[in-house]
Amino acid sequence: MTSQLAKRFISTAAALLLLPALLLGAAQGAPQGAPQGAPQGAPQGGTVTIALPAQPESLNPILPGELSSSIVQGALFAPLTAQHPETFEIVPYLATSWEANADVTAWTFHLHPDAKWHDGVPLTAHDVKFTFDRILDPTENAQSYADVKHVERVEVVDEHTVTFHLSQVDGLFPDRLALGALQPLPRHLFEKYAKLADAVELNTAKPVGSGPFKLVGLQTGSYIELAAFDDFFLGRPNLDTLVFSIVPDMNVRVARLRAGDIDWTDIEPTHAAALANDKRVEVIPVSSSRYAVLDFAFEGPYAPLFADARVRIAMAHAIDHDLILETVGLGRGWNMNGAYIPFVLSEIPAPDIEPYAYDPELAKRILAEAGWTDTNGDGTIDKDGREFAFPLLVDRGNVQREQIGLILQDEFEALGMDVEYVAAERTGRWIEDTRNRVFAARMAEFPVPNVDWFRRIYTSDGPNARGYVNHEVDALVQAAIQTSDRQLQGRYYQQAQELLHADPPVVPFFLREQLMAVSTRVGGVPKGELKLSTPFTYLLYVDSGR
Amino acid sequence: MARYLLGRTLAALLVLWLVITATFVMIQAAPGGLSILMNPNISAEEAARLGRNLGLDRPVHEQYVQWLGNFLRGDLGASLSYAGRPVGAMVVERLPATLKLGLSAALFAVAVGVPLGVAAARHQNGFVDQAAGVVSGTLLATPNFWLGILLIVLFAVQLEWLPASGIRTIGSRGGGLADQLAHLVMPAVVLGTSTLAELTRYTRSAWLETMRQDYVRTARSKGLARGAVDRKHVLKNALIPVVTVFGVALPRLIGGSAVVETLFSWPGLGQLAVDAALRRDTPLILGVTVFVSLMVVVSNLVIDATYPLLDPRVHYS
Repeated sequence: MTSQLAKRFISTAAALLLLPALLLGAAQGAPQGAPQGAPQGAPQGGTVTIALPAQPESLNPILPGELSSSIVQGALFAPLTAQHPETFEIVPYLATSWEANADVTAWTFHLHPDAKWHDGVPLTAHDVKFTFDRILDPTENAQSYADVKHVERVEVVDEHTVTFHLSQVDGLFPDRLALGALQPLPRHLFEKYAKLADAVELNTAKPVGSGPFKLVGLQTGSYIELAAFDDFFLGRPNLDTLVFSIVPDMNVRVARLRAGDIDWTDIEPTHAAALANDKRVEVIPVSSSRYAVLDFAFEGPYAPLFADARVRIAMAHAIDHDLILETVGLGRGWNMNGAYIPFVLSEIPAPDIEPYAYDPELAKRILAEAGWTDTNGDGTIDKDGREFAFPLLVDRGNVQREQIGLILQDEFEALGMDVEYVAAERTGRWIEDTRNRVFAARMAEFPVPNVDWFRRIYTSDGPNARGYVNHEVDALVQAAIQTSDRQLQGRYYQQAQELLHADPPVVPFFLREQLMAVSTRVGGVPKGELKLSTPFTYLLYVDSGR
Repeated sequence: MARYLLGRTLAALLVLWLVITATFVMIQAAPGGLSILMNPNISAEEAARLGRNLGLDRPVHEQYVQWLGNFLRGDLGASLSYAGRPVGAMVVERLPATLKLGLSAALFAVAVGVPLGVAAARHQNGFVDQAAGVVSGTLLATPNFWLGILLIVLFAVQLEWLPASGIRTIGSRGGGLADQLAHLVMPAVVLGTSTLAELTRYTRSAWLETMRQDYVRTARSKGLARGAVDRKHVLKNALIPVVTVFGVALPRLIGGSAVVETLFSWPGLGQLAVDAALRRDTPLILGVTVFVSLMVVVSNLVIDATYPLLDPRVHYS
């Protein structure tokens, strides 16, 4: 199954590479052609129920919220651009096309002329300007303020054209808009409130969006019921109703799926076996853009241990990635092989590197060359009087990272290191040690939904938790932002990864494959993560004959 | 009686204040903070900005005093993670579901546990007694989470007799009495089983203890029928310790079971408490704590009020 999925991605990547004009069009305009509307001929009507892990905190995409909020907001609010859940390509949505000016300091977006709010009021450029003016107010608590604070002003060119004037060059601006938390809000409803957060009812119970579905009912803690928006600008959804059912426990989600109560949920690999013989359910592997990492600290009391790149390379050689993928990932995923950008972002060419092969003896030799040997015979390597002892911080609650941490402890102790396994609450000590930069090495998971996240994680001007500085990487990423030429950006990121590989700030593990379980009566299911898929729920249909 | 009630009320207020303060201190002392600020994908500066906007940069004692002042004015504040929703409204919204589940579980536990205990006592060492012992012991040892999963697999997945979770069928087809009862059965049974088991055992013991009293022997020697002896002399007196046990269990039942509500997606206070704790949403945690504490206090008062009805020797002053 893994090789079939890899082949599908490779063929998708090849198709994308055959369309350079299309990609280069992003420099001067969006991919040509309007986004696909609801397919003709699909059965009409019916209800699809999607499981949510928790109650959404907010139904306003601008205010802070977590995954469940983003999933529901995806069906309620139309973003300017969207990320295709299968190809990860940035596609038109509310904006039909866009272009940058010559020096990439201004981006102009052309809005769909038929877009409306759920209350029938037309959606215009004024709504976009209003929303971003509020986002850019640092007292508004917009969760994506940091992503767009370089927007100097938003100009309404005409009713359906808006220009973002930036204080610095940004070739990735359309990518940022696709990440969510930047969907336009209805000005005519929010403008009377001093702060967006004051509109409690709009934010929590009666949202008015522009997406394919509108809210018709909810019971807090139980469900959110949406009805098809007849005037959706990409075509009325095929379904009549889309329901989000709040089911915190994953075992119960699987049980309800099998009982026919829900139609679509994410599952763990351990559930796949239970569903394998159920003809009413299809298990769909989808690629995430997330991978676990072993993260080294370059600041704090343990930084001297990892300062020498040879030490980190040695530790990389001590890790058996195939074993980890098989035992922890149950074979579901793809080893990153030293890359830092997932291959699913197919417009970024793979780096030209030799992965650090599993070779513990080589690892020991490299450590010895770096001066780390057991001079006092106590079983732990040392240098200049300091033993190679450190705590490995693992966020409790994530089984995969907990298991990887145990394997790493074993593998590093085989090198003569003294590793203390420290499991801590993610929102407790784990995040505190991370923010205060007092951790030695930690398990983490990085999402890289687009290349801008590469900048966030690996350059010195991002929220780079480990204090890693590589000026050559910084320069390459800066150069990538200076252009809107996608192919040129790809080459810069390819080179940046090669530099990182030579001086690794982290050891990336496998790119996680996620499993979705969907009722076979549902068609048109985007084969991607829920968060990326819900803007495309207008494509869903119910076929009772399936 | 009035003085007794006044004294109990003052004691309850003191307990409430201690619980609130202890909860507040524990939240502040725990590492980490509000979950939306603990997102590792945002910078420390960004987290600080969001925290300032939510008033979390104020000194802790100032936050406490402000919360307490608002509470005394009947305002439980606004949730920090649920887009500023009033905490009072959030709690009141969940209360009916929790009361429905808790009272149903209590009714189930009493309706089955007490008669089973009586039957076990009346057939001491017989088959009924042995069976009741095994059943109650098994139920006491069974984690309710595991029992819940088992019932869901059996009744919802395999037999398709009952819905797997939720409080009603979504849409116009749901919400009727039959639909609500169907959704209530499994969570109420799971929540009530441990109390049922306790009541079975305590009822049996209390019944046997009461049966051995002199006044019962006198009644039987006077020729009263067994049924009459049980109803007039044994039942009321045996129930006194049973009511005590039930009084300890009742707050647990109606306070919102986090495990059962999470498992069955039951939108009650228990589920809200879990959400609040996971999000480290201080006003919401305190609001839930206040309500649950009040329910515990009120249920204890109700239980205490039943004692004089059962035993005329008990009176409060």
